[in-house]
Amino acid sequence: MDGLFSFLSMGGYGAYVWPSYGLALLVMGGLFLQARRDLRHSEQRLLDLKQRDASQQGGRDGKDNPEASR
Amino acid sequence: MNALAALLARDLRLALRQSGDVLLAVLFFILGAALFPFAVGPEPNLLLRIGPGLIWVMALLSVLLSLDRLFAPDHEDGTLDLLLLAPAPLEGIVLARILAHWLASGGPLILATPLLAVFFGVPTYALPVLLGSLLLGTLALSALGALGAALTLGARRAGVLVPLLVLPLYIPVLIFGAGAVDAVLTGLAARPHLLLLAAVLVLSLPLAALAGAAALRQAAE
Amino acid sequence: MTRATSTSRPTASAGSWHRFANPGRFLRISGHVYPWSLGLALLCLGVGLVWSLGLAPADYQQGDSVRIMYVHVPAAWMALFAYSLLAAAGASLLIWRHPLGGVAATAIAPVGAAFTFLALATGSLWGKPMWGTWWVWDARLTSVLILLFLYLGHMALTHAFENAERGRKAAAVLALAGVVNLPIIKFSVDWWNTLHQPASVTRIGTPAIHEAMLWPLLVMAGGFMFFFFAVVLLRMRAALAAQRAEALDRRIMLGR
Repeated sequence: MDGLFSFLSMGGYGAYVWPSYGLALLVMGGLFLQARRDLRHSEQRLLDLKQRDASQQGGRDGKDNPEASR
Repeated sequence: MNALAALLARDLRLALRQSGDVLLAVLFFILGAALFPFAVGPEPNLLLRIGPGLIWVMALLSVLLSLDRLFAPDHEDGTLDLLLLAPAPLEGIVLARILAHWLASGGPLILATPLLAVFFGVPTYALPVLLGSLLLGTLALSALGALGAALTLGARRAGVLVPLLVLPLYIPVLIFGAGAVDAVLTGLAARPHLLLLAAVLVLSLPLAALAGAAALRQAAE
Repeated sequence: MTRATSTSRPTASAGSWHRFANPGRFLRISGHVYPWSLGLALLCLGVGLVWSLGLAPADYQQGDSVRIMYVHVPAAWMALFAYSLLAAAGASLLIWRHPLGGVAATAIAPVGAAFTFLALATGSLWGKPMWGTWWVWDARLTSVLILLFLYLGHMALTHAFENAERGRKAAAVLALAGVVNLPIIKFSVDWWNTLHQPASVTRIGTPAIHEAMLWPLLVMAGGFMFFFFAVVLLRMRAALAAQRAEALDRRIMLGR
């Protein structure tokens, strides 16, 4: 128990050391999570649009759509 | 060369015709500086201590205020597209424009500076260095400001964007300019400060010409 | 007169560059690089955390507060490194018209700004016990503060235009101008700081760092570096997907 306390107190500098590491965790964690959320969001949107595009193209197939074969 | 001289003459004529703008910038310079005694008190030693730096900051802000005149009117009325076709290098055109802006904005500020020197009790022997540092410095401010103005042509909220882009680049000019006056007042040599200020100026001009021209081409695309 | 600079003329080698600019190729390569980058980042950060908080010795002068160094110094290194990458990405956009350059710069800028902020905040947390105050106008702190403003200006300029391409190009010019200016700013701030050395502040000199502290520092720096690349790759892929979605959306709206 004593060991844990002395580790947490960081020789009296705990109030400065822990916030530094906490802030680093917060900033870097935030960067990572936001980037991953953005990627998921964009890829989902792209997928939705592709499906919509495909269904539209299927509906019009063979009429007057020169790009339908793509 | 003739084309550039003609351009410079045109820009100066335009500036003279809109002398109201110039006058407003000078008024802002004087009024802004005159606010400080109200904020910190009229104690002469304190005012002398902060005076030169304050005059420099106010000069910098006044130049900043006039940057929207540099390219924006030409961008809006289509003159910029003609300038891109002009029989002169665009970098030269940007330099001519910087020179015109300096004469029309830095010049009047320098003329008004002795008045502020009196307000803050700056002794006469420091006045030449103060004016000299402003003479060199405001040209560098115009050059770096031209870069910021060219980059933000057609941007949303260009007015608040320009200070954010330009102020960090202004810091060396401020340091060496205000430092020169500080040095004289504390009995040190102002020469190294002024030489460094000149060096910043010599680097700023080609940088602003090259990058400014690139930015103008992008704006016209 | 070097009239025909950068932007106005596609260079002869543009064709070969566009081969690499192909987003599909980038997506494939980044798909392979990303898991390694993230894995190495987590490994280095995990090992570095244990090493820097537990195993590394306390400083004989600064005590345990020296442990802040293991996040502060890597963050400051990344702040500078990211800016040089930002400028390189901008140059590749302007000179070789490499479209990925603009995407990369847009992805790098906020990450670099975050590391710059982290360097400043942890520097402040380190300064309070060492200098007795949260902030001193120390030459290094001041330069890093200016660097943060350069990042913020870059980000604001990127998003200031209706036309995203114009924003990316303008920001690229700004990043290159910033690279020319950074040494000047650094020099001027050092000069200013030696003239106005704050008298009340006792500064502790930085002696050559001991090996027992150097190794955990390098491991942490490696972790920060891999983490940076992982996040930038994620952000670039997100931007490319958003671009393609945008293009597809427009095509559907126009009804082909």
